[in-house]
Amino acid sequence: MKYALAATLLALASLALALDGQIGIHDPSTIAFCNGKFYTYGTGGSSLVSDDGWTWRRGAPLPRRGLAPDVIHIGDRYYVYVAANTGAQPKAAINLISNKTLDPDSPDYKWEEGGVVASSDGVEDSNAIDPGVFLDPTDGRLWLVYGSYFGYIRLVELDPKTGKRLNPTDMPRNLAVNCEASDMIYHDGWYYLLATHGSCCRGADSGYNIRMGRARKVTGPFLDHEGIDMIEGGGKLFVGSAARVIGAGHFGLLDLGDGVQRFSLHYEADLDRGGASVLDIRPLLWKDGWPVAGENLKPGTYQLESSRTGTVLELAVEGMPVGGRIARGGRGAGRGGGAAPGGDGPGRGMFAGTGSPIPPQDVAEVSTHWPAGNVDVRMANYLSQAQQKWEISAVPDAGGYPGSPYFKITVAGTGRTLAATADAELVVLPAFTGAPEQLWRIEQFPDGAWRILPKSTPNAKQAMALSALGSSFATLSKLDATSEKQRWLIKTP
Amino acid sequence: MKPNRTRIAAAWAFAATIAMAQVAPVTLTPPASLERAPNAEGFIQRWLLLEPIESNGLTDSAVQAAVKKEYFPNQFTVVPRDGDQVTAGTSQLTWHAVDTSNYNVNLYHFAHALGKPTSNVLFWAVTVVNVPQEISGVRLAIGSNAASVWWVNGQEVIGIYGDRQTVIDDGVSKRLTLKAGANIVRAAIINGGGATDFCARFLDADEKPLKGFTVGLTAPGAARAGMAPRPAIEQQLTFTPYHASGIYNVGETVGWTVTPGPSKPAYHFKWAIRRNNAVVLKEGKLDLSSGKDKIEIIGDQPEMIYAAVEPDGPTSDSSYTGGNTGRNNGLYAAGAAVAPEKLGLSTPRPTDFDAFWEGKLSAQAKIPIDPVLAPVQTDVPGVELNMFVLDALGSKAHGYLARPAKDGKFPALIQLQYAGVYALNARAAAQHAAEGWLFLNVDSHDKLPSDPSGNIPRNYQAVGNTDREKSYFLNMYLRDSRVLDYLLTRPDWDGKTIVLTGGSMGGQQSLMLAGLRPEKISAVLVCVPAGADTNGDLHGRKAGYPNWPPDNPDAMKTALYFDTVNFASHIKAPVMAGMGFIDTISPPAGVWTALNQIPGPKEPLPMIESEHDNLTPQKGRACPARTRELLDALAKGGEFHPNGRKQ
Repeated sequence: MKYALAATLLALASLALALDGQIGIHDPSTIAFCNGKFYTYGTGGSSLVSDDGWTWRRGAPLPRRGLAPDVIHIGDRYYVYVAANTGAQPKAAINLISNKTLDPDSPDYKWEEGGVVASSDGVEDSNAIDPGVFLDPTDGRLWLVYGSYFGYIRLVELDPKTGKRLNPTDMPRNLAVNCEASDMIYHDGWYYLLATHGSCCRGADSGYNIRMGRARKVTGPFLDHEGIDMIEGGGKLFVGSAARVIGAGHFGLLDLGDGVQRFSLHYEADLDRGGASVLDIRPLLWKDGWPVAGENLKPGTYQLESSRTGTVLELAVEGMPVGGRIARGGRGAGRGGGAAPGGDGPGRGMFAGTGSPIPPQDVAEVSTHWPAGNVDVRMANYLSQAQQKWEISAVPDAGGYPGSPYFKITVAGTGRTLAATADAELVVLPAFTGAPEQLWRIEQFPDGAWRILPKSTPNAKQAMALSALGSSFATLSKLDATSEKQRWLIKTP
Repeated sequence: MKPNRTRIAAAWAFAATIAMAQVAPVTLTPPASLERAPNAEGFIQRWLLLEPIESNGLTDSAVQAAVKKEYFPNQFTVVPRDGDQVTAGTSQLTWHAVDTSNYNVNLYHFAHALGKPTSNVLFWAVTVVNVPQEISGVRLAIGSNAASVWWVNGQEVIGIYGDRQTVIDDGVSKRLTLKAGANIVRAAIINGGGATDFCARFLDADEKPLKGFTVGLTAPGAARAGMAPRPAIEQQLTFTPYHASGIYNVGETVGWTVTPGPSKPAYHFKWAIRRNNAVVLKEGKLDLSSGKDKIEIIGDQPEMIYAAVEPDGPTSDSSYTGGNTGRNNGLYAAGAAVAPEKLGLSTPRPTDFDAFWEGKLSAQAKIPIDPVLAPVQTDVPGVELNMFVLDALGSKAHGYLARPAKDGKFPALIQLQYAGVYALNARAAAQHAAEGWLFLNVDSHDKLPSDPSGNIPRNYQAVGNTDREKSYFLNMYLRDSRVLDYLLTRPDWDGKTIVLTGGSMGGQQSLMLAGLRPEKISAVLVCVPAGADTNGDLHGRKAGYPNWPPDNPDAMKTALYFDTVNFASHIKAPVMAGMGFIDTISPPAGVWTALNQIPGPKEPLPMIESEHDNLTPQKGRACPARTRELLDALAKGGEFHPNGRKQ
């Protein structure tokens, strides 16, 4: 249908927004947050650091330059697990190093060696690299999964007080085969083992893709959506190659709190960056008991529909029906020839339409009736009118947040810009000036709805979010991840 | 003291009865109290509504133009009184004070009942929200069918446009500040066609319904002297009783001369005379062709006579106004008494009645009162206001205690409450103390007096009604007695004066307490007391509230232990009791019966044209006026010496 409405964003495939800055990395660790900065560590001692999760730069290398590290923050220490070959593959060992901080500028920045937590002797069915560390939120036990293709993905228990192996003599448990870069997460009664299948390190020819299984116990068995155990090669696809990015690998959970989860990964080849291996951060969604790889918001023109009210945000101006006003009597009146719905031509009654496509409303034409200056915002039933269509576009060099830049939100086809006011209400300004209250953070909830936060609300002491407080009224309310008023559906108009 | 209006759950049943006889459901009634709290969801249920003005157009610009046009002087500032009239164009329009029983205000019911148009019209609505202290960060949240524009204290805060239905919290204002005291909320609602209504509440800074306020209809600065009198509705029939007193001896002819007008009758009428509103004695049709007719019967025994008049035949479509219940219901009633001082008990007093209550009182006596007082701020000068909580047998007693803020001993006034579940009026309590009373206002329920709902079931009066050990009224009565226990311990009581007062269910509790604890009570001043003659339905007398079911023998047996007629014989204090001769909620036969059981002096106050006082307050003013007069005298150390019947 040419004028079909409301295809959801998930179905879109348009220009992707990648992270900004220096984002070249391979096998990135889980992203850690320390003293206001985000950190991730990759193979070969590489590291990236970011102040906001959007713009990244090179960071200080780890003292151990191994393969595919992973990091976790427990208590007052950061435990980093780094693997290295100790002979011909698959002879390898995973070492623990720890630090009170990840910030090299901190006086506390001092790495301590914690020794080997897992190893493979080169003959056994294991290749002890690619560690993934997991703190079980249900009981506080700490676990390490590791392994790479040769033999099994294995599980050993660590001591959360020290980060070291809890009982070095315990036999590792085998969880999966034919994969690497494993990691574990917990959600709603299930443990999920995410591991990367396919080949790495072949640029745009890499078949890397992240697959998963789930289990009721941390020790497995991890079955995929068809009931196939990962130890027999099962695995439901979580994310693979798409669009212009090829070879997805090395899942890491980034829980931002307040109900928003993201995940990090790398692509073996970003075609828009010359086929380089790069970091990305994307929304982590949940559907039917399985994680779903969400997409960061893409610039475009949208309707902003409240999940609570079903009404959409609009500039508070008197609307004009698309196609112009038609004369219509009261109910039961003015039915012309009494045509039935579906009548196939003009002049066949009020349900027959005009007989030809009605073009989209021309904002340049209808906006001549809109007041100049600041205009209020309100909510209304979506009628495909110009004041209900919002262009969301990335603002260059204005920073961002994990995965996305700050956006401006303007009435499509105009410069009229949505902004927060000093008293935490909403207004549409005549033009965008770049002030922080005109910049918006747009983040996806696990169920696919979005929250929309101004970068700054003057005078507000806490984070505020766009809130459909009334069916016909929107405002800024204190950020509340549980509030249905603050959930928005971003749809194509 | 303020006129003690009563509002009573049985009013809904009454409204339902009318609804069956008429086309439109009744959701709006005249306010029966000075102020009321919002409902449990914070909705404002009391408004002044102006009869509709013709208006067209629902677009943003059409609505803005319509509401900004001046229809009558001071349109954006006036806080009218019930019955005030304005001239808009060529129309004379009247303001009506209404309470709605729903979360919303049904403007269709409002206009239709007045015979006014409901399509292509503009309604003005005003209410006054009283808040104890300034509240910032609140929002007005409304819904309307159709478009509407809203003002708070003169500032336009919401406009919603187009053809729309009422949705809770549809239009919401930006954050605003309610000032301490009165805040005026004003709305203009424009309807295109069909249904029309609105709802409104405030949201607090956490976006939760705001409830810490009361709604009155009095402008700031205006005397808070009570409800503005509602203008009499133009009646189509006038009833002139043979005896102006409405009271006859056995053997005399009881009757009325009926004349048309002042408004021209739109119907043919039929009538029925019922003994005690239960037993049909005579029926007929009115023939006004000669300019008058009569309705009469010989009074053959002590009884109340209820003459019911209603339209005869198919109801007319013509717009009809009138009715002496103060509503457009098409019904008239007239009442008379025959030898009422001889009305006796319809059912014998249970032989173990006294033993039952003595057992309960002695059990309660073993429980320490354990009073807990919590100070409450009041803007009434020279007064200390507290909430109190007392331990009673099986529940806790709550209420407000107000006293003059000075050393001394004071006469005590205990006010018991009318039916329903609602917050008590803290300010009114403080004002009684300002008049010199040690004032105790007792919540009828085990809940804080400031709480508009608690966890009290709406139909509490039916709870446990088949078992005297489980009746809701057992603990209610014991709580009242416990408040008296507590008063007797207070060193600031003058040791002499304890006055009990209340209307409807509050009158019921007053008579009960005066009979249960006769020793210290010095006066009982009640209006339209409920709960008398609960078994009347079994004996040819229509019973009223609490409407215990006559077809359930256990309920009838249980009711006798809570019936005021069975407490009355122990009352020692002088009693003043007002009654409405056409009251269907506190039927007068029961009130007389209770009074007739009192061995000491009493003062019956007949109000012969009065339905229950929440239905026709203008017909029942004699009782609050007499109460006021007696309280003024008692507060000054005077005594109440009833001298028989007052009229």
